[in-house]
Amino acid sequence: MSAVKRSAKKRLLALAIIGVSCRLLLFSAAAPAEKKDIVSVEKTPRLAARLQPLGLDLLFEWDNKVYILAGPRDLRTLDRNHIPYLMESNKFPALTSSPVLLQGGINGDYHSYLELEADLQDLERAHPEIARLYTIGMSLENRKIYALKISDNVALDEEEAEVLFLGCHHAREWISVEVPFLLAKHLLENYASDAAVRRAVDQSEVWIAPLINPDGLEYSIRFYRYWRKNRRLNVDGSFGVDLNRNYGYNWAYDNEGSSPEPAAEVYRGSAPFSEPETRAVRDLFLEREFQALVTYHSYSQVILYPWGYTPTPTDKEALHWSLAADMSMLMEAVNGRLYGFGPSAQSSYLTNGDTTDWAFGVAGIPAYTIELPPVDQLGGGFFNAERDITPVFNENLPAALYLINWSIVNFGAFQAQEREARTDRLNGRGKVPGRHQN
Amino acid sequence: MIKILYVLRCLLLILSLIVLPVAAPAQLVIGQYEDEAPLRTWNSFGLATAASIGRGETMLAVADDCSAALTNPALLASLPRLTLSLNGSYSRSTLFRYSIVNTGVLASDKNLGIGLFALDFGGLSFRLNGWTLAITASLSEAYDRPQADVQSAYAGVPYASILFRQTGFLRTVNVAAARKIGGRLQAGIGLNFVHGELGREVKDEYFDNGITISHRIDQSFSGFYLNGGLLARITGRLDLALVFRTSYDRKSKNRSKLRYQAPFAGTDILIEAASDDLYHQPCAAGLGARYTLSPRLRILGDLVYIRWSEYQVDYFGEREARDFGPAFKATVGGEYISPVRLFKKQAVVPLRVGIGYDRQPMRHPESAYAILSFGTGLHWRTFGIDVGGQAGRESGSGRGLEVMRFCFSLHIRL
Repeated sequence: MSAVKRSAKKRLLALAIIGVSCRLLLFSAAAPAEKKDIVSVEKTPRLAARLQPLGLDLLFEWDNKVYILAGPRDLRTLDRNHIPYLMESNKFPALTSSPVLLQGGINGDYHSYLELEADLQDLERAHPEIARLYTIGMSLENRKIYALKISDNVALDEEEAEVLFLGCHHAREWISVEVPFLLAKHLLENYASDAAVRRAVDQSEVWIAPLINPDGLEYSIRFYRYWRKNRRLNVDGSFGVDLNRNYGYNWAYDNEGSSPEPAAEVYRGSAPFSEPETRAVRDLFLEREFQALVTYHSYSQVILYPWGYTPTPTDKEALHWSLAADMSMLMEAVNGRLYGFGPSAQSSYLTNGDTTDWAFGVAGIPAYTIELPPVDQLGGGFFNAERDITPVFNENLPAALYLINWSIVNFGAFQAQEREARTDRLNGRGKVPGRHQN
Repeated sequence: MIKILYVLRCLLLILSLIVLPVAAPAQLVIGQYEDEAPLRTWNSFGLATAASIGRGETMLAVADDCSAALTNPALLASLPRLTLSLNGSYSRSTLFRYSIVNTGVLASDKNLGIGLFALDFGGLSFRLNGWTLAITASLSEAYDRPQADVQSAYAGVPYASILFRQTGFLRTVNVAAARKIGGRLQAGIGLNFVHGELGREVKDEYFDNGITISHRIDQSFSGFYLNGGLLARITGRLDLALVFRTSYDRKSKNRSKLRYQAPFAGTDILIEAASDDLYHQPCAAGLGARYTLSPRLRILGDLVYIRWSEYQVDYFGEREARDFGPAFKATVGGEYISPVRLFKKQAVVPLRVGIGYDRQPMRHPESAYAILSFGTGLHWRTFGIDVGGQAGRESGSGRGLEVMRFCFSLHIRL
């Protein structure tokens, strides 16, 4: 009897999905401008009474849930009324872009600058209580560099752990935009339904800047897929500064970890923070008190931590190692992909003027470069198939949550004295912990 | 009956010209611009055949042949009862910065040139019940770029190569009608269908591991617009012309294939996209004057204004930034008719000279071409040939880009 009931239920659900899909197709044809999602709300008498006056587009009821077709404004309404909901769009194929239709950006499912800008603004609009979009700087070609702050009471600067996630210092590493962006999306869309996410958002301030090098990304999309640097016109007529060699800690330490040659792929620029893109990150860093940082890159599937400029270990090697080991384990558990880990100079190659050396060097915080898949050039190098975007994000999600959680747990231990010392260092005063003396 | 057959043959010839691939790369050195920038100039307004090229591209107030349908259809009413025209050209342009050349990937210390041979115009006009009708086909724009095929080597052994290739064109088929209104006025209107294509390819190859990264973009264009004009005889010596071209949406069907192949590892990643986009083309207006100093000598001047500030590009679903302002092209030319005898028949040899200033639409850096032209020809009985050449040099970009064009026209006038 129950098997028959289940079968009938499945058929009914299938019919509902087909019906909704058809409706969505019609809807897409008629009004393609606003992106809609399907969300479900628990069907309880109390919630039903609260839903009724909101004027939402109720699709159908199923399995003690009410399914709603919701645009950003509707999601905002739900947030404002403290009605928890679950994102269910993935059950309705008509809502997700189909490669068969071949419509859309030249870069497929990856974000261009304009697409990312629109999506970040949508996220902020849909979740105004917990998301706020900031412009932290402008690129050389006058594109905005965005950072999305995610936290409860987002308008307030609370005494909470702060964690920074960065993406796309290097233009050709398209996947490094997607992972931090999807992290933001995940935190916002699962805030109401996922206890771990809610804790992360309530007890910390997560800052996500998915696109540090928008000019380079656009050039990579429009003209040359393997473009790496920003779009600085150098004195010798060549283009680009490697943003991940332009940070101010041991900048230009040697010519192996970065290059003084403008045409080189790892050209460090004319001075530390010579580029507006790195200055944007620096200025955000100066304003905040981050307890941890992750910067996403690709490829090689490895978690790197300072130092990059020297093989000598830092004085916090054990902590770095332990956090990286835990993150690697969590990541492997998702799709079985193993992320190696270790100090940057030893596990990868020498780099000077990079983000993590600077963040650790001046602030003493755990700072990780996560080199996303694939593992090698033969596996795709800086290319990831569009279908790999979600799996790569999924395996990085627990590591990101883990690091946020670590920051929350250790926030109390982050002594006022330490903070004060760090402020001095950021302002160029005082000694830097763990700095290799030469 | 013979005349009808003659006209039909001519029509067949014109149609075959329309479907022929008319541009062929003549010289491929390396060179620069936006992908959709026409070679030579953004300010294309109709097509200048050899006679008008010789006078500095003055063509709004004088009908040399049925190419007038593309610029000022009113002039068609001045043509003989039946005309046939063909025009071939060789043009050469130098470029510096375009696509991946001199923008960070491939570098050159000098301007790069590209030459194109083209049979770029064919047309027919005839008079019917007081109306003059014309059908013409022209190669109005070319988007070819100097090809780049560069190998990298270490210790004399090549290990990688990079290829850049772009070709493209735009053809215009025009149907026009004109009529004399009273003794002093002529009016004409034309319907223009444009179609064309643009293909661009960038390909990296790494020889040691067999990795290939390729990006192929194909675009096909279509659209239509109206053009028209008036010619007024102000005095016995002075004619004035007013012309216009409507703005229009040049539709573009775009497809992109971005591919990463590492055959040794079985890796094949393909990112495809397709999009229906458009290039909103600006409207244009012009003023032309012809002053007859003597039966043998006349001077002409044209001013064409193109409202490039309304130009818009939607490319794979995104609005592309183009910092364009209105642009204009001013030209002045003179023509002296020298009578000669050929095979005991009267013939004329026109001698032409002209100058022009062609301001490009980019705001930064400001850029303009100064152009010097010359031309001659021979008109004998019903046949005529014209040749014309022009050379121009750009100022503003700091690169001193150059353009030159040589044209050869054949006419039959009955």
